[in-house]
Amino acid sequence: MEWGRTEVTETEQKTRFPDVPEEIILCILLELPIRYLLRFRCVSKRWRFLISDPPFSISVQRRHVIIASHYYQPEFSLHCINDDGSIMEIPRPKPLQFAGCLRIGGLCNGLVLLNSSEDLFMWNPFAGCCKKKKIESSTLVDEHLHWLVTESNIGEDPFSLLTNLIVCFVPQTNKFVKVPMPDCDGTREHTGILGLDKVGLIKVGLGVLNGCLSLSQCISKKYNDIEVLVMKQYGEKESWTRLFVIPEITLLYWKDKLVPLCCIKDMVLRFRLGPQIQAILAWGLNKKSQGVFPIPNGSRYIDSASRKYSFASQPLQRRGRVHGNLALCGDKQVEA
Amino acid sequence: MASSIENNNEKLTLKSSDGEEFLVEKHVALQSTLLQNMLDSDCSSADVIPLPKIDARTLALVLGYCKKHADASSSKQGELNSFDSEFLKDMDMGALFNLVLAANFMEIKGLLDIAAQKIADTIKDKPHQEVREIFHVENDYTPEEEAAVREENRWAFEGFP
Repeated sequence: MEWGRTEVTETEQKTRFPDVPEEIILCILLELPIRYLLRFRCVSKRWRFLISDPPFSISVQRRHVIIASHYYQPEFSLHCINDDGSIMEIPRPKPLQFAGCLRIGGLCNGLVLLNSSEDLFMWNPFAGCCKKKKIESSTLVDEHLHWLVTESNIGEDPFSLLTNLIVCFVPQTNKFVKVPMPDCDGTREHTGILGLDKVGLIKVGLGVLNGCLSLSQCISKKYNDIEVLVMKQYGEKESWTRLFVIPEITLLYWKDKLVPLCCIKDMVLRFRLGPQIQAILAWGLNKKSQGVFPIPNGSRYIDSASRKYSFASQPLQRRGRVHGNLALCGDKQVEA
Repeated sequence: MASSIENNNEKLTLKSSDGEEFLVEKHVALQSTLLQNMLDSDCSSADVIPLPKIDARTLALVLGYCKKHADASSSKQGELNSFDSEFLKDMDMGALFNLVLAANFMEIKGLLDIAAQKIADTIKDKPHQEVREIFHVENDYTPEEEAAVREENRWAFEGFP
C-alpha cells in the first residue's frame, strides 16, 4: 500500500494540532481495534506502556478468538478473530515452526497452551513469546477445568446416575466437584437427550462469557431455540441468568455442541466441536441475526480459544497443575 | 434555584477564548456537566461564563451539538445518530482536536465519545510515524528498540512502512 498524501492530509500538515492530554489519548486509543493498537506500540515508550498491560487496561478489556486449524498435519495455521470482526493470520511461534499437528489445550492467565505431540507450549501471540513447558511442572495453571458431563462419558463415576451436570476439577484436591445448575422452570418442556427424560433441558455447550461460566441449552421441543445463560456469581445457583435466546437456529447440525465462546462487541461466537464439520457461528446481539465465520484455509478441524488481549509473557505463579489435553478451560479464576 | 428551574427560557452567556459571547438557552447548556454543576452551585446565570480554553469557532460547533441533543426527544435516537455522523463528516483534524478538548473541558460525554471515535477512525490507517507527528510525541526509542517492538508484532505491520 502506498502512503501518498491526499489533499486533506496536506492541509492538516499546515496546522499544528493542539497538545492533547493523556486522558484524551486514552479515550482515542480505546476506540481503536486491536490490530491498529498493536502498531501504535511503536510510537513511543509511553504509548507502548499505555497500550500494553498492566497497569492500564486498554487491551485487557477486549477479547479475541484464537483458532488453530489443521486439515492435515503439516498445513496447520493460526488465526485470530479480532474485536472488530477481522480475521488475521498469526505467524507460527518460532519453536513450532516445523511442528506437526497443533492443538489448543486451553488458556492460562492470557497465555495460550499449545500441544504439539508430547510437548506443551505457553504462547502469547502478541508478545511473540513461546516457551516450552513440562506438563509435570507444578506451577502452571490456576484455571479450573469444567465439563458438561452425561451418563455416557462419566463411566463409573458417582455422578453417573445423573446426566448433564457441570463438574469442575479442582487440581489442589484432585477432586471433581459439582457446579450448581440453573433451575428448570416448570413451564418449559422437559425433553431428554437419548430418551433420558430426567435430564430436563438439553445442555448443548459450556463456555465462558465475560468471565462467567456460561451454558447453552435447547429450550424447545424442536430443539430450534437455544438459550444462553451465565452464572454471574460463581458457585451460586440463583445467579444463573438468561443472557439471550437465539431462535430458530437454522443449521441443525450445529446444535450438537454449541459452545458459548466469547462476546466481541455485539457478536457472540460459538464453536462447535463435532465429529465432522466445525465452524464458528456469530450471533449479533443487536441485529438479532446469525452468520458463519469463514474458517481460514477451509480447514475442517479447528481448535479455538477466546482470550483477553494481553502482552504477558509469564504466567502468574500459582498453584495448580495441567491435566492432559482437556477440552474445556475457563479463564475465570475460581475460588476453590 | 427553584425559580431558575421553572423558567425554561432562561438564557446564559458564554464567552470564548477570543472574546466572542454566545447567548445560550439553559436547557441547551445543561448538556454540559461543567455548566450544569456551575448552575447547581448557584452561580448566577446573569454573569458571563468565560471559557478561556475554547475558541469561538469550536464553541459554536459545541453549542450546535448541544442544541440538537437538548431539543431532540429520546425517541429520536436514529435521527440523532445521523446528525452526529453528519456533524463530524467533513471536519479536519485540527477542528476535531479542538472539539475533543472542548468536550473534555465542558464534560459533554456524548460529544467526547463521537469525536474520539472519529479521530480514531482517521488515524487508524496512518503509519505510526505520522501518528507520532499528529500527537507531538517524541520518539524515545533507539532504532534498535523500535525495531524490536516492531518485530514483536511483525504481522500487524503488513502493508505499513
